[in-house]
Amino acid sequence: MILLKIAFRNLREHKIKTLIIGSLIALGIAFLVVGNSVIQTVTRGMEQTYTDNFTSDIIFRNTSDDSVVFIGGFGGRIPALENIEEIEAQLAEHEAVEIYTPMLTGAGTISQNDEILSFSLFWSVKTDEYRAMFADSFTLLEGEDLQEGERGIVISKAVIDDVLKEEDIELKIGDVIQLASVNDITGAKIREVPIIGIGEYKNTAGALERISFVDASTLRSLNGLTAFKASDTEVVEEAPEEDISEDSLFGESSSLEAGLEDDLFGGDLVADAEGGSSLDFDNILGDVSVREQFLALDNNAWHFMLVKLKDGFSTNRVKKEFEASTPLIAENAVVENWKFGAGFFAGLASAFAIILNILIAVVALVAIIIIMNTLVISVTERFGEIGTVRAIGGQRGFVRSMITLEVLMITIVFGIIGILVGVAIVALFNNLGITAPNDFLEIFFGGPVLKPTLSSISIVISFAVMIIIGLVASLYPVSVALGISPVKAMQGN
Amino acid sequence: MAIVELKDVTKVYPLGKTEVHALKGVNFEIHKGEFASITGPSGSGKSTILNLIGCIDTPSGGSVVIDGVETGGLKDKALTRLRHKSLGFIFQSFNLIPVLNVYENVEFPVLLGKRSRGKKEQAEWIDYLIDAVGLGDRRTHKSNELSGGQRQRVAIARALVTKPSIVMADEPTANLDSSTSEAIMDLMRQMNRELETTFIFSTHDPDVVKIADHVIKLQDGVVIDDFNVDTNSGGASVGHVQQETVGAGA
Repeated sequence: MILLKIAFRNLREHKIKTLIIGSLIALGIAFLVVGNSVIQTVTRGMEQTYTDNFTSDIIFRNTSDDSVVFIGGFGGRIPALENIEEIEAQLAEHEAVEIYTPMLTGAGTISQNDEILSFSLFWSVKTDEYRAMFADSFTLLEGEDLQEGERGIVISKAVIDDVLKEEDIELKIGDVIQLASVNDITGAKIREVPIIGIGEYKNTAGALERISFVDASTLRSLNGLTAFKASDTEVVEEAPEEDISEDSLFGESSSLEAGLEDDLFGGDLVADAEGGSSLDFDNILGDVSVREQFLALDNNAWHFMLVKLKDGFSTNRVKKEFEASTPLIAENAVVENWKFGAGFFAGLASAFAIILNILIAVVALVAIIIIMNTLVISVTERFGEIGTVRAIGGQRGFVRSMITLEVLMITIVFGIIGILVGVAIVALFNNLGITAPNDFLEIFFGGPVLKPTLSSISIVISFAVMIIIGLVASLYPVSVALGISPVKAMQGN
Repeated sequence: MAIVELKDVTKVYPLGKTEVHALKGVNFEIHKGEFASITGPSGSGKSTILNLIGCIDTPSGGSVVIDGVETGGLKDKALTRLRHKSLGFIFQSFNLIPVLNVYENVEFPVLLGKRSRGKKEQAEWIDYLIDAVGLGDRRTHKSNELSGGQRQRVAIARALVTKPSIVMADEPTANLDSSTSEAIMDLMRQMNRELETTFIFSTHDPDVVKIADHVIKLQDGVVIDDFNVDTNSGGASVGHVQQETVGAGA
């Protein structure tokens, strides 16, 4: 009690010093509250935009490649999810899962009559499930949506506009266009599809304005998602020779020693050539069943499984549950959240948060130095008083508490003032709104106007940071105070 | 019974590359209930001796025994405890805590340690001391609202509040006018008699020395005279002790 009394009265007695330190603390906290609120609003806005429109709450992806991208995998090969049926079976049983649907991604050129017109990003989905998951996020402007098993493209309005502007060609429903892409397995691929619809996303965050929906078979082909898997090759190489039946691989009439070439290229071809008979061009490659088997599309290949959770379930908690307690999923898939889908833009949001944190660190450092200097001066002016306390029986701990309590008191009082100022500023911003000056910032704002909202966690964090700043700033002055000998009391006040 | 005992005490202060020998082998005893004066000119070692007796400094050599406790080798915590338990301090510049009022300043040393008395008993004791030093009507005044003499009265009450065995007073009248000085010394003497607390004060004022019943005279870091005064016989001095310097050449 006496410590509180001394601390409070000392602060009141030295008004100027108290105001200098207090103002710094109040400004610091206000800055932290506003900064954290804006960042959290931006992050929440982005998360809302992405989870509601494109990514859902949780995304499962293949474990084998860290360079897997959610939007527009172009060139190379994005691996499909392994054991997708088992993942689906587990999702179906999970209490937190409301709905799930698979998805393919890709990118390529759009051509017509051998002329490249534009570039587009492709997604393939199970239309009904996908539209149910992201209700109202995509608007079909013309034509029809893709149906199960139907071949075609629901092309992005931005691509249509782009082609009209750049090439003066108006693509319409019913037009047939060529989609071209390159992958590591089957090389360059061109597929012809009819335009059956034209549409656009309501929110064009990121590169989503260029997304076109293509049927899954076409996109699998463009992406080289064949039944062939690297793991199949490994089994052949690693398995004991006797376990491999060439018959099972190449058919009954073949063997590696005698008939592989025959099997691959056809025995008739060799015989006919030797016999001088005419070439049978239809069978010039002989039996290509093995090649076809390896190049056959995997009709159940999907890149991602999007999972929407029921209300009230924490994404992070469920994500951790999947990672920790579901071995099958842990072995077959990486569990991601919306940030994976947002990719570059989520990274930018994180970068902004880092920049803010660096600014906070700089402000904190400056605050620490100023508070520390002011406290050192204050302690120096009180050498006699502190010496007296020590002389008449005050232990070092009492002196430490005396100085620390003053710092804590000033931090708490002015911290609360700072929070109130911060809350007022956030409320003002929320009321007026911060208008995004360009499309790029709209992505971060989650819309044309950012209306920062106060989060209790930002207040708690800000307050904790200022308490830490206060305590760190008091370390050196406290050590100076502890070094004061009681002899100082004898030397006068 | 000696309550303070100094044996061959030396104190050396470093001063740049040289050393200052503030005390050169000091020996004396002060007994319980005495009103002892340590006197001598400036630089004679008065303050150094008070610092050693007050356990706020340690000797370079020899031994200092306070209230039966050899202070040599005690750690800071133990010395602080000893100061709190056995010693009271009256400073030349009063050294009141500026943000506390008269009552709070007097109460302050009690709050630095464990409570040994009941709250009510404690409050009555503080009230008694404040009344005893004549500040009953100034309880709620801050130190900047008091005169020098009043501040020193608060300091006397504060020094006595923990009921110490010894009260140290470092030139307690140096910042006071002569009439206030006399009043303060009379008050200290009165407290000394009423509470049987040993008072040890330093001074270079001969008029102040007159009131002491034990006088220790210092010069250049040595005791040049140590005698008791029979105050009942009109101030006749008895038992003069001349001391030799130890650490010759120092």
